Amino acid sequence: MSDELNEIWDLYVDDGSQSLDAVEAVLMGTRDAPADAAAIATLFRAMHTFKGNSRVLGLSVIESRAHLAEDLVGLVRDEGVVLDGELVELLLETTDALRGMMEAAHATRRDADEATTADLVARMRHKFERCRRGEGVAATSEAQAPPELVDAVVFEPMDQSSLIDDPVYREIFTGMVGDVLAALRQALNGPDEARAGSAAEAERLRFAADQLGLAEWVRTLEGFLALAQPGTAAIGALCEALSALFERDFAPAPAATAPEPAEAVVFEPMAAGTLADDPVYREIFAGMAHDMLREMRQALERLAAEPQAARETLTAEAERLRFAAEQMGLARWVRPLTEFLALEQPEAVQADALLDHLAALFEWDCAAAAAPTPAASPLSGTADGLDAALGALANLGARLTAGAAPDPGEVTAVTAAIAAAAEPLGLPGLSDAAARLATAGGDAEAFRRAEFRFYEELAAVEEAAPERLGGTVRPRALLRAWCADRVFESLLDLGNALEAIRRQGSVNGHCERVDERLRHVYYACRHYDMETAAHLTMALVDLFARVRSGELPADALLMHTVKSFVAAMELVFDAANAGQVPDMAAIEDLFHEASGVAFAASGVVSATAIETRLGLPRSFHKVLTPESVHTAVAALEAGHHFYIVRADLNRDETVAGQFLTWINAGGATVVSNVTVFQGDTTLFDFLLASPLDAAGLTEALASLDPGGAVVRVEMTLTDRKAAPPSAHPHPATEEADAHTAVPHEAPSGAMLEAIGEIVTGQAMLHHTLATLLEEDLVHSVESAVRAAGNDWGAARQGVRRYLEGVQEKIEKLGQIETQVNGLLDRLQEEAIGARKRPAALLLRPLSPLVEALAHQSGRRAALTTGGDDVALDVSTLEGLKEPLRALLGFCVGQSIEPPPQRSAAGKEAVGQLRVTVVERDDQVVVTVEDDGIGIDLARVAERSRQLGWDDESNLINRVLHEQWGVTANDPAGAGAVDFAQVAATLRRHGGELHLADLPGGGVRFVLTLPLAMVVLEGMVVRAGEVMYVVPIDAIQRIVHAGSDELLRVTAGGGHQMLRLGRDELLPVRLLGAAAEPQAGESGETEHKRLFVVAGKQSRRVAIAVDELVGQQSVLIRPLQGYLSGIRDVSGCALLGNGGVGMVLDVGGVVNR
Amino acid sequence: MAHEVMIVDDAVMMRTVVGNLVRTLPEFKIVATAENGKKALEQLGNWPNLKLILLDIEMPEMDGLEFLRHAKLRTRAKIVILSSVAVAGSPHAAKARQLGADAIVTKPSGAVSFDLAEKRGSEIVQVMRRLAGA
Repeated sequence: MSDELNEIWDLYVDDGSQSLDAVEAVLMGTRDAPADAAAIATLFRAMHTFKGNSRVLGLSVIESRAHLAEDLVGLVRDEGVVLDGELVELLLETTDALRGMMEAAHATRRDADEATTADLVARMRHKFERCRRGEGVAATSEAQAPPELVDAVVFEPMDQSSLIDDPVYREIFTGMVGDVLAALRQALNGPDEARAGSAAEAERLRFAADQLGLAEWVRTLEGFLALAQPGTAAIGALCEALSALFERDFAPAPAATAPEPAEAVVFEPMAAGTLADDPVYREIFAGMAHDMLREMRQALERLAAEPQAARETLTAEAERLRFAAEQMGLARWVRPLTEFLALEQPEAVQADALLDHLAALFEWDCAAAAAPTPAASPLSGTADGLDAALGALANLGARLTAGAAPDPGEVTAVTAAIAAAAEPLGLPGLSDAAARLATAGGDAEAFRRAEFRFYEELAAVEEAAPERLGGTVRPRALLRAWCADRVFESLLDLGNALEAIRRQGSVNGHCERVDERLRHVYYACRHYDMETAAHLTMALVDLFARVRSGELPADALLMHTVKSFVAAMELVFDAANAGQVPDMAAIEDLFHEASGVAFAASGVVSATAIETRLGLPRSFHKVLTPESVHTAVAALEAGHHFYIVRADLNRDETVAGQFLTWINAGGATVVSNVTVFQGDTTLFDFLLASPLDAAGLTEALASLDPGGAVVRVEMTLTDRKAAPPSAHPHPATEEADAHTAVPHEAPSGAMLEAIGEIVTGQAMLHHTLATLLEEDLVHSVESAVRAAGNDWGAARQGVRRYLEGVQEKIEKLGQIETQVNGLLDRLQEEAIGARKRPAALLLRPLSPLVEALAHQSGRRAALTTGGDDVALDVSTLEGLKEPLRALLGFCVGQSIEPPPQRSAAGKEAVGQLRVTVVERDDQVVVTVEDDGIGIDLARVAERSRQLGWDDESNLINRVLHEQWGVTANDPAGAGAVDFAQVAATLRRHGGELHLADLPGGGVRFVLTLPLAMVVLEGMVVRAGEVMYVVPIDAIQRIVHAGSDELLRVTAGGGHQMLRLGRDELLPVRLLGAAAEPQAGESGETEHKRLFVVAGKQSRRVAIAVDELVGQQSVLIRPLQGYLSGIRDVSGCALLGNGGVGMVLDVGGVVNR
Repeated sequence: MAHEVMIVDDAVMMRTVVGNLVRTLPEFKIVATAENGKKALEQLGNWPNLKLILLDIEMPEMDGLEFLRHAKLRTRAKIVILSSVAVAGSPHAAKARQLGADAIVTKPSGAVSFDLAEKRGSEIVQVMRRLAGA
């Protein structure tokens, strides 16, 4: 291992120790006093640095742990999460773990084992989720796609003029002006040498002014800088000029707006009746009205007992409220209050009527303004009480569930508090639910059911009228968390109910129990944001409701589905509980089964069948109800056509109305519709069935919306009658097939859309180009001049108009081209996305392979894998398959020792192999490691000497040389590998192979491949008659060299070398049958030759080419059959001119 | 003449890794390094011909974003953000761009056993060359 790398490893530990020390210092400090913002910033930065350094060394496990810790600290820094004791202890534990992993990595040069910190990771994730939820941040925001991230970007120069509007830049600049003016004034009064420095000061300020776009400042300073030797007069003038400019551009607002010191300020009166429109005033009024109404209500209650005092309060509050209402311009408040105040001696009934009236007005005028404040509405005046009562209820419920037997008095008190808090909300359902709690008493099961119902009722209130509950009560979250806490119990009970149904042979008496437990599971799914699982659960709730109403039989299929559901959901919640991502494949399958149950019972085809038959895009999957399917089947039977029509109904009400009227009038039948979010716009996709064909439908929609801005046909669907629908396509089967062949998937909706738009763009390009080509510019201009009697002045106007017309068309061409380019990018992204498959398809078959190889070679080996979920392009998967098998063959057959040898060396008898797949930036990195003896370097050194390669450095990489041949520690053993061949295979897919020997023994192979290998940015060159594409990344420079820069090296078998600079010589490589450049010939006829310098750092070559055609993105195609044997080429590509180019295998050329 | 480069990063390891990379490029010369924005700002006046600044974001005393504001009024050097937080497309990147950064490159990664220049380093090199016109 090189000194440079050793130095970096040492720095990793030095830097890392400092960072972790800093983390610990802050965390320990919190035991004495809470950490301030600066301490939290230090904490974050230290963890961030540690993470970044781990990343540099490719220690992805350590990096991921540090990343989690950084995220937790980020919540404290940015989201206001409290750095509580639990979090401090968790972070301290993490710091300890990171320190251990760092030291181990330094010693072994290996990343940490994921498993040892799996529990810590789960707890950190759990804490993260809890912290995030506690802050009220939505756990997911599905509608918002994350911004697209790229690895490097170079910005276009920015518009500097905007900087001057930035107060920070203004402040920095004014500071500089002050400094410069002070220096200039000092120079004025100082010696000559001091004046000499004034130019430098002026230049400094001129540059800053230029950056800010302050043209007049720049002009003034440039005038001064133009002077050869500025004297005191010039410096003085500059000071004055700068001061004046400063006064004008940066001094505080002029005196006219700066208030003079005054004893009193008189404001203009505000226009009457406008305050009600101001939200700030509305909020103030709402608060006042709330308090006054409460006072009046209390006074009313005291009216009988203390008539005098109560009436005085009523009158005083009414008077204050009337005045406030008058100021606000709320006449409807003023009138009843004035009438009430006119009464000499108001009675209770009148006060009551007034208060009812005002409460209604309050709801009308103030509810929205008061909503953010929990206690602002008289109707939600109990929010605080409800909040407190809910806390007591949750506590009681938890103890009852745990088997405790609380004091009956406490149960009564809590349920009474709940009932009291619920009563004023005036919602019968909620009051009933509260009453059920009271009747449940201390019976744990009854109480649990009543508690669940009460939370459900409350959640429904939040759903429908959140303002009634105030700001702090969040029943939906409460309900979901409650169900999540009890989900395993609910699943167990559900299983028991199913068993009881099976024994009894009927669902009678069990439906309610099943329904309720399913609802528990549903809310628990919501708690963990498991959308598909929640949909499935609701589908089952629906099915059982149908069973209960006699609509469906509780047949074996349904029972089987629910039973499988219980088993699958246990696993899913297990994973979710541990902070892992659950495997949803089984849930997806069950969803299809559940849908099949409903449709089979109703005697129609399933929703899946319709999805398949019409080729519906993904957005319409799982949304078809039985009714939708019924409609679709009827339309299919009637021979109707199916379309997806996209409508922007909010854009134009008139057109939207006409569209819906057209549908209602029988123009089409709506089978289903889905909502589509595009930025801030909400669109609707309608699945329509219509007797009209595509042309007819387009015409009908065009008559409603000629521009197509509001409604347009998004997709025309085809009835695939020939392929009878399979009820339950099995994703597992699809996966299994995926790694053996590139699947032929139907293009996605977005892809078809992009293709459609590209075709349209191309048509527009064609049309505009055609009209341009028809123009004869010279002839037209000459004719115009001739028509004006060869008087250019007279013709000028006409010619100008004509040329402007042409210019306009050219600009339009440019716009269309940009648009088409954007669409092509989109199409490319879609296409690449559609080709992705999980790495598990590559990794899963490796375990049996290793087992078989070990068996054959008398070894014992165990394989672990990581990165199953990394999504890879299908061609990447293919490209990795063979190299991986070869390398594992070497590990098992050559590196891992037979068991007796391992035991003698103090190792476990079973050799350990690990294959991990990591996505890093734009590459996939596959690491293969073992704990055997690795590559026998002594043997490599010996063979090197035999080959005459005397250099002893970098021995391990010798095996990658083309002339090396097969590598084997034991030539008689299995698994010998030609590493150069493996590297060449990877290079054909744009990848590389690296090797490293590990300090404790064993070998590490690192295979890298581009994540998406479809598109390549390349330089197209011609060598002889053949066009080649050289990957841009591999090009170091392009050289135009004459014959005197070419040398022939006798010792190198007569190879040519290109002299580059003073002392660098690069081997020259020829492509195909290209003519060799002539060295050492000089004369008048000599012409220079082009060379592309390609390769990496010290391994570079000069490739002789005849022509540089230009840079372009090319789609790589693999070479098939005979072509796959062509040397130095990794694929072929279609070029912009329609020809075919050979994609150069630069690695192969370099190693030749 | 080689283009003058300054590296600003609080991590010694990162300064070394990036420094080693830049030193392999004959067209660039590291003239200064600094462990935070404040120290970098203090040195700016010494290098009137500075061509490039490779700048981290998360640093003590003065972070990269604040340094950008000040540097914009003090130097012609192009500024490359070299950070894992300012991934292009992120809010940090938007802020950096707003403050006048010329380019953003993700920090190098995975240099555990081979030449850094073959990993993320090549991206840094490309961006440096493009900005320096080398």
